[in-house]
Amino acid sequence: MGKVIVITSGKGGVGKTTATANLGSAIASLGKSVVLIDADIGLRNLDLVMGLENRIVFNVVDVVEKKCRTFKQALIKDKRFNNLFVLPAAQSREKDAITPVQMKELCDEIKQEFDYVFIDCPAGIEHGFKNAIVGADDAIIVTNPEVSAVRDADRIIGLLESNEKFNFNLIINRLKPEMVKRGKMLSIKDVKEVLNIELIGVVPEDDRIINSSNKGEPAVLDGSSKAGQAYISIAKRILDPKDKFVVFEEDKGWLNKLKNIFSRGN
Amino acid sequence: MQNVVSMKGTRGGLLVSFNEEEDYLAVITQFREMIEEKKKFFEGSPMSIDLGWREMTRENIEELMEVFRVNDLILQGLISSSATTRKIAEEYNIKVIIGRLGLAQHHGAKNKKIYYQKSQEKEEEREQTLLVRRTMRSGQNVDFEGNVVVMGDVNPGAEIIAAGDIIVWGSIRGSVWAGSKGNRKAKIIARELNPSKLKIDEYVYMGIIGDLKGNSKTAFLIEEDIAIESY
Repeated sequence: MGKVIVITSGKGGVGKTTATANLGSAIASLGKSVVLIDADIGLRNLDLVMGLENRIVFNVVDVVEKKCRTFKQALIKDKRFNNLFVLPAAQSREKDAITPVQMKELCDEIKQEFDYVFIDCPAGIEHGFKNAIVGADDAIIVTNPEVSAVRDADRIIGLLESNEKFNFNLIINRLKPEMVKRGKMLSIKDVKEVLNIELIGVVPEDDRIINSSNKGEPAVLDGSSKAGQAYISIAKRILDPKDKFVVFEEDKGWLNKLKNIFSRGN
Repeated sequence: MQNVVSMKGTRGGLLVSFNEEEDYLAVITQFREMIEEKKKFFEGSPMSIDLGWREMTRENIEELMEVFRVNDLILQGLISSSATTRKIAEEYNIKVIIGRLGLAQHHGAKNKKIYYQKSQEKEEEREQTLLVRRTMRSGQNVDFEGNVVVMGDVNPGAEIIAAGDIIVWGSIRGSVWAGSKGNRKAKIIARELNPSKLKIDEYVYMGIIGDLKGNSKTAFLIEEDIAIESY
């Protein structure tokens, strides 16, 4: 039986959807069968980031309303990986179109047949959030190194803690090492100190992410994208928690990196 | 065997208790003997008698009053739980108070205050403490009529309001208020003190908490200022 992991943050715009798309693609590329569920009903994005918008026939609301025979009919197969599927959100409905009970049943059904199910959680702590977490076994909290994102992540962890069972992992997204160095941005240590949960990965700020989202091609497919590489390392750690933790040059800085390149050239 | 008649001194005078189970003849005989034995000592002293549930007859009361008259004692009043006894006693113009409950009244007003203060002190000693075994995160709050102990941090956005002390085995980054019901003695103790708001009794800490060296920090009131000390 597979595992359901919800990707959540509380605050909007920290990179939940990007993380879902990239982790899903990375784990699929490592040979596991994966389903990505977009739980952000009314504001669906995941299909765009995955570049699958034009293939949508049924959505998650259709599945729970039994408008299609099984959930499989609504799954969209990814362009690049045969073992990666997306269950899109409904765009013209609202969050309360699905009840937590229905969502739980759906998650339980899907995880019987797939290795990993990632749920892209909407921002906020209302109905949509409750739907997204109800069927999950684990949670990945995405946050940015800034006070508002950390504060919201803290609130989310508090809510999940009171909701029993969860295993938490933290992703710090959009870290700018040189800003941390100048003391203008919260460091990994600062964030860890407040949230105090297992850190599974740090994703550096990367301009290519915007481009890859616009094009609908997850950054993990781009070998030169630092963020993409970070997501691959996180995916490996999801499969095997003992896998090496890679932090992308927080302490080194750009100058040292340049030096490295030159020394490699020699 | 239980005493048929027992006597003890209180602030309001002597309190004599008659065993309510014994035959009245035995009681009054023993009482008379007790008094006559130390006649000089008891002379002129005010005395109250606790009759318990005993049902007194007119003869019984007259007999009792005779003992008082002969020995020059002053009968302050009777304490009785029995309505019949109280009614008869009132016919003889004796002050009567309802039993058990009446005991406290007998001790007098001053004494009563002491009792009250004592019980309040005990109440403080027995004050409840709430133990929070996790980190308090943003949006979580505790409002407790006693002390609060947190085994973890108090994160920004979390709030503790306690009538007593607040002790945090971790870092305080959120909002804390000790002595919320008015308690100038309340303290806030934490390993790291970096609160977004700190309040003791009605006083809010306005200063900046610098880098205090030490294993823990304590905040407490001196006059109208909150002092923070490390050790």
